[in-house]
Amino acid sequence: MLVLGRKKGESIVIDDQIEITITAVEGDTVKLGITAPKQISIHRKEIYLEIQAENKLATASHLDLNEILKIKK
Amino acid sequence: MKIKKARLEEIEGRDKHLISFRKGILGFEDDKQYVLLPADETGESPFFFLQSAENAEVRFLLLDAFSFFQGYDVRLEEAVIEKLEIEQPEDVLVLTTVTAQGDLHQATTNLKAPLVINLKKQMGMQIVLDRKHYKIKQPLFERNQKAVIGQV
Repeated sequence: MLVLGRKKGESIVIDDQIEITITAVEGDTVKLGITAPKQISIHRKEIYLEIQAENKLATASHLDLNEILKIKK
Repeated sequence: MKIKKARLEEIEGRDKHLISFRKGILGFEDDKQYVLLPADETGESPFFFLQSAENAEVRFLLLDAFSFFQGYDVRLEEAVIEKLEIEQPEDVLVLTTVTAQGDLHQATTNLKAPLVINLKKQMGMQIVLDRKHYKIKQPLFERNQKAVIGQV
């Protein structure tokens, strides 16, 4: 992993198109401002991990097809 | 783009159930090709199966959340429309994964991260919605269901 030291107000640029700016540092919280092309999706990692875990649980599900078919639109 | 209805009829009777997820589905990045099947052939069921064409063990039970949760609302961002080459809302199916351990009445569905499928181009992706009240574990059966989903 590349580790860069940055001060408040400073930025890094990734691949000429994504810019991440340190907008504030308060205690152990760092606020980031991100500028990226609209096709780049940005989310907190926890959300990704939660969705990944939920997808795994979903494929491990088991249900009786007859029960499922009792439910109509 | 606002998507409200889900229809699979257009692909019925044709060999077009194969859907490709170029980036895979979160947690299943290696599985790119899936077969989409309605749970019944009459079109009355809101459920679908999404079976990996590469791995027999990867199968999702999916729900047409629009028909199940009044007020569930998905707006597709430009980026998604571009990635899935969507031309018109009628081509799009929005389905949510269902998680259950035997008892359907305890089942939950993931309204936070629906699968968006362009039937015409046979492409799909899982998106993450930026709405706090859409839960990853939304019970299918809950009192005041409409109220829960209806808030914006």
